[in-house]
Amino acid sequence: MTRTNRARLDRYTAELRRPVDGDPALDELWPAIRSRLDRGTAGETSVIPRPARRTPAVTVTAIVAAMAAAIVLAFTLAGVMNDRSPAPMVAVATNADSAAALRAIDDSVRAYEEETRILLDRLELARAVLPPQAAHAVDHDLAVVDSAIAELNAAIERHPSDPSLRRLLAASYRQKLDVLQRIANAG
Amino acid sequence: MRFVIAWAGAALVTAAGVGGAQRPAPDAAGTVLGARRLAKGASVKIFNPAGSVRLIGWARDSLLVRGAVASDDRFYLAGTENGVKLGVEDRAGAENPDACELVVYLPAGAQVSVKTASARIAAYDVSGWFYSVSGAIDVSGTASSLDVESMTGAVTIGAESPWVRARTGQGSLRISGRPQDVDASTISGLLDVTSDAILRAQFTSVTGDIRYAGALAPGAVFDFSSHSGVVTLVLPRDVSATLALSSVNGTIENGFVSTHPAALERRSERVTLGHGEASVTVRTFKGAIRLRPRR
Amino acid sequence: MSGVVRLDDAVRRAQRGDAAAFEHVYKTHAPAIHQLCRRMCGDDRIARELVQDVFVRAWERLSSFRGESAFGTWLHRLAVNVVLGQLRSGTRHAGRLSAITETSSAIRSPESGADARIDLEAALTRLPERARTVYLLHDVYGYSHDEIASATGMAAATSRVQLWRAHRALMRLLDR
Repeated sequence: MTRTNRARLDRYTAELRRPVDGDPALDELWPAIRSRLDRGTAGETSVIPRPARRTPAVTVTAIVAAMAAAIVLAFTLAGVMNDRSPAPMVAVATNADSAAALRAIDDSVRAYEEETRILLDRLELARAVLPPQAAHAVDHDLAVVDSAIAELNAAIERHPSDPSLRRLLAASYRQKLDVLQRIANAG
Repeated sequence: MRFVIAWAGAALVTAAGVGGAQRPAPDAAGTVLGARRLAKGASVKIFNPAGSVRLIGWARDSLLVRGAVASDDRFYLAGTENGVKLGVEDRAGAENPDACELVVYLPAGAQVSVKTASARIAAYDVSGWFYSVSGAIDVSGTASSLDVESMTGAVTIGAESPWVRARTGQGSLRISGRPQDVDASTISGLLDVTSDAILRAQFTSVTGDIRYAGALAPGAVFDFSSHSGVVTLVLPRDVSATLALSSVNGTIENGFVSTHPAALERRSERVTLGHGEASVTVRTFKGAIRLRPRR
Repeated sequence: MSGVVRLDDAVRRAQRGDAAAFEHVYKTHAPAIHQLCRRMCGDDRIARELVQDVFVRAWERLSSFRGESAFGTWLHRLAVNVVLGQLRSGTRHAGRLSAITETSSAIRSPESGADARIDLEAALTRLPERARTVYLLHDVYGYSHDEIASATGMAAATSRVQLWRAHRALMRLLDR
């Protein structure tokens, strides 16, 4: 970064550090806070509700299937990125009924979600720094591919047993990954 | 990035006498920006945001860079004989970086990674990865492998290589020469292939037209897939191939006389030409499929 | 509560269970905490929920505040931990890539302080979550990379890379 740009960024950042004015609307939050404090002093162990755990309300089969899809996406995206960080290890459940197996699957799903989030982060950042013309071209390419995918999905709904439609859909998804790879390579 | 110029002996500096009937003439003009010894299998990473990058593989075990660099841009060249990085430093925040013209001579067996923003790339007798955001890319000569993509620019490959992978978005993608295994795809750009040497190929587009004109060698396997682009195959009259053509909503035009159509519920034809020695599959969603004999 | 109440008195009284005193603490610090939450999570509705979580947790942990740092600093760090915990467990990344394909509103170079802040806030929302987090914590709120690593779980080297990326992206966004 040049000295000029650094100075500009420093000025911008200094603006963000300036004290913020009071916001009367925040006063409206106090009653709810007070209510939670009171509930806490009434004997509850924690006044802060635990974040709703996203306990899957689906079968283990569906969890594993969803994880497999995430694995394919994560491996595919990871495989086309410039720095090929190893994908997380997969924990495969052997006993569908065991809580430990579910936790292992849950941990693996979280690991792949994090990996996917990292990859999507890179893609967004790479797209954000593209020149405007290139960014518009990429947006156009993604729109073209997404339109094709939507048409194919609609056709598959009408003709679910047609293998050629699924092959065409797979080709379209590969092309979408290609576009995402090109965005990432620009970074 | 380090601003290093490594100077080799005087014998390495001159670029005269590179030889080769189709090899580009050496540049007499352009300052020598750097030179160093380089092993034959070395990796070379090159970056130039704007202007041009020309790469020429030669028989020497050295690297030489000539060019013209804008005064307030910085050329860099650093590394060892097994791996080198060179290019023009990208000024962060610069929307329109100054154009810099680089000509790089490097051992023909070296593996390059070339990346530009808008700079054109032209490579001869060079293998590796070539990427540009908006610049055109032109690759020819002989290569061990080629991986070429441009986000918005056109790509032209006229090389002899056992393996070619090529991608464009809206830019055209033209392939000729003697590639053997080809994986080429566009989004909406034209995909135009003219070659008699391909043995295995996957050609894909979303809305771009695909045109193939060439022979089909015995045992060759070709796969064409397009969502709505027109797929046109222009084949020798004596071609020997089995072609499975199918389109969900598009038309199929068969210009060959000897056909064995197998009309199914969907639009599809199975065409056997000659002894059916090559295998071709063409699938579209709504793009037309045209099969034509070469005149 | 009548009369002028010094903030440190209010904190001491809140530590002894005086909820009314804590209300004064809340009203003094809520704007800054809300701004932090909104900048880090990019959503005002969620930020308001996080503000509540922060102050409830602060009430629970008041006994651990020993005056070694300014109360605002202590509260700020607690807020960062609450927000990061929410970001780790949240599911806001779905469809984010499609969101960035929307036509961006012009982000002008700032001519006045107020304009600058509006433009920056808009640019911040366009940064990916990790880059935005690191930029805010390091450049705006003064965390070191080691402290960011400790709070977020990423390596310090990763934090440096994310900061560099945030700088580049902000310069591009603000130059348009």
